[in-house]
Amino acid sequence: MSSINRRDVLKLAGAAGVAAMSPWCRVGKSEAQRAKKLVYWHLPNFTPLADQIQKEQVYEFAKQAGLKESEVEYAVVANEQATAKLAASIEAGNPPDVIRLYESNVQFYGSQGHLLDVTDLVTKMRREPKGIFESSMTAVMYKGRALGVPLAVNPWPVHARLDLLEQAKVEYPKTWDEFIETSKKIQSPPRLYAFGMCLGLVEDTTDNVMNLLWCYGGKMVEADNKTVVMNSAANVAGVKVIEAMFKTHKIIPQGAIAWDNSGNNKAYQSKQAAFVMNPSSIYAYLDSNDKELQKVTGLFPVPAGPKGTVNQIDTWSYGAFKKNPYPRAHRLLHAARELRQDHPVDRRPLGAGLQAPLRFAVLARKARVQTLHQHGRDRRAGELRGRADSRGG
Amino acid sequence: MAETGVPVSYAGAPTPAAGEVLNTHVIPKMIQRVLVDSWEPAKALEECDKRIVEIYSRYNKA
Repeated sequence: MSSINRRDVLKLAGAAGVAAMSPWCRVGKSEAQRAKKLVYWHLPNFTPLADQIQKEQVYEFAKQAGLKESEVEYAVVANEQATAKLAASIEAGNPPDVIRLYESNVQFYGSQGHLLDVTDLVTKMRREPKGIFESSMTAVMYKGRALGVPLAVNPWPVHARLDLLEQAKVEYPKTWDEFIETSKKIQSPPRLYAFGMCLGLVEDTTDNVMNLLWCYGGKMVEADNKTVVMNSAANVAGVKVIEAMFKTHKIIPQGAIAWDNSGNNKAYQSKQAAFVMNPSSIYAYLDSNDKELQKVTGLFPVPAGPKGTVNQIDTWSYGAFKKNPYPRAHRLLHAARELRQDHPVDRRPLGAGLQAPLRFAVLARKARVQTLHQHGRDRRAGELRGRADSRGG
Repeated sequence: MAETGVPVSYAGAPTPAAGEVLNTHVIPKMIQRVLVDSWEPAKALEECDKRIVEIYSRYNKA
């Protein structure tokens, strides 16, 4: 007969403690918990109505996929925290089932083998009458396979205060040189700065900076996706313009270097900036929250540099992670496809994060838009116009 | 605007490397070198270029 002494008890307790703390044990536990829920991570749109409707959509998709409301976990994750939080969840073997992914994050996570191949779904969507904008396809394709489902296409117009332009008796500037001169006439710092350019350590800064550099002939990489050309005379010229706007002309608020992705939204919406380059989520926000400011807001192309005007467009996509214990994630995306066919929310002014036809309709109907290009040059343009036209946009 | 718009990775397409550039804020760090640390634009862009070359090279080898 064996006896258990105090030393044996301590050994057992120690072994149990090590087991409890080991990564495989924690992963197994988290997966067991995850099996009870379909987890969706939502990155906010900066437009409350869009967030609300997107939430409704996710629950509707889940319902169509045969899930109970209690089986869905809809988690809001701040844009600035999403990358770190997602990396941690992947490391722990516990990523969300579905998440909204911005632009090349589909390829970034897809190349690491994390995303479900949804080529079958995207292929079906492309064949449907309302289809998918062809230009969005580049945002979800990786090595010939679709690893994301396009959700939204966002143009990045300049939101401009028309009332301030009128007061100063000036037109919307056609070039960046004019932009600086116009800015000095309409601003009244520190209450109102002309240009709410995002300059913080966030994604919107990459968007805003690159958009200006393009107008000066700059770019990050050549079309071969191999030749990096950041160190160019054209980019130096563009950066010097930003430096001058910030330091010499002082048309950008100093605090912009600490902004998060919502900084430029808030600056415009609180009338602290007269111009911002941003998706039309700001315009959509005003539609719901500040009709007076909306009335005096115009949406314009980015001013031209020596190499002309270049405007950004981005794509948000649904991505479904492989490493999850809940196989219904794929079904949820299929349900999303079905709902998309009906477009039950298209008539509501949502702004960022939802479908481009809706957004285009908002722009076409309500905003004072300066059109540069009367004739579309690709299929997406035709589809955008066609969809807007078909509903009287 | 929607007719001629380009992705932020222009002139390149959305790729894993472009995703890492975006997620690691290489370009925001470049512009803050100029605006906060008072680096010359050329020097900041040189540093930025090296970082992006390292990222793209890593993915293009894979």
